[in-house]
Amino acid sequence: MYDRNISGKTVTFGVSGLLYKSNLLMYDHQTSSLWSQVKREAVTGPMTGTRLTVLPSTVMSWHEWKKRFPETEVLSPDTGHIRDYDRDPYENYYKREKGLFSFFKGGPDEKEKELIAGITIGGEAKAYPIDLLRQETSLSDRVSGKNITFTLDKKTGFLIITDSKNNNIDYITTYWFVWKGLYPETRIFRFNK
Amino acid sequence: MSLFKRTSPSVYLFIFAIIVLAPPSLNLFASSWDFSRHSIPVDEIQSGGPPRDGIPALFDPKFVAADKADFMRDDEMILGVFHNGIARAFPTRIMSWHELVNLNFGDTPVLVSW
Repeated sequence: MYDRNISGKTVTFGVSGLLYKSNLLMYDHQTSSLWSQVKREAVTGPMTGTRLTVLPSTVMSWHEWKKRFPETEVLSPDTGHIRDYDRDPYENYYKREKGLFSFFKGGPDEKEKELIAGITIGGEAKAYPIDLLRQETSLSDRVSGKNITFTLDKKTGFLIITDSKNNNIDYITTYWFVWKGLYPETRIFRFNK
Repeated sequence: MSLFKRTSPSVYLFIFAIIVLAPPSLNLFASSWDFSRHSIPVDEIQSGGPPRDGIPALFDPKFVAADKADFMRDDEMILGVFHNGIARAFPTRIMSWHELVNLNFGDTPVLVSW
């Protein structure tokens, strides 16, 4: 989730229908600049280079979410659009090992569709497999000379990444091949074997 | 062949106009966007299939309280957000048809994306 208040103005977004390295590009209605969700910034048009602020979100089952947040509301299928909401059009895509429009060439240890939390600090990109983070209650690493800590909040189920001063660090949850497409120099965190 | 006889000249003119006047698809695609400034190589931007707004983003959609949400299945996947004391779930089977939701969490205007 992103903050739509950008440089003091409220911006609205639509779907451009365009892709960059398997990454959906959205656009803002005010300037028609294209924005990358994974890079968290405008990549073409008048807003080029403007950053998006990421606000935490998570993916889990409805049952699990309701337990954690009994007061929750849920998006109504009465959206004003006629769509077959009983069916997720990407259902087969989630299960596929390969990405869509993918030109990924990975090593033997790399799983194209592995879900990762991706961060960029001081020009350095690093990815952390979500499954690995979920197994640990807390994990630390050093990126670009900064100590960072990963905490899985037990109550909310949210992953929180902080630096040594307890400032939150933005991260994006996406597939490994999408992250690597945008950050070819990225490293991926693994425990030493 | 009777089909040809019944086709009026204006239909041919119309088809001709589409063929001659429609710019090559690349120009059509570039003309909707301002690429005068960019931080990524513009020639690596591909069409994903649907046109601009072919997948309609949502604006200030309706929400249902958890105990009234009988359309939800316990095991289905949701995108969950908790912000400004408000918890909201976005079923992924709805998000996949829209990809973006523009809405507010209290005073904060936000974009939920899938």
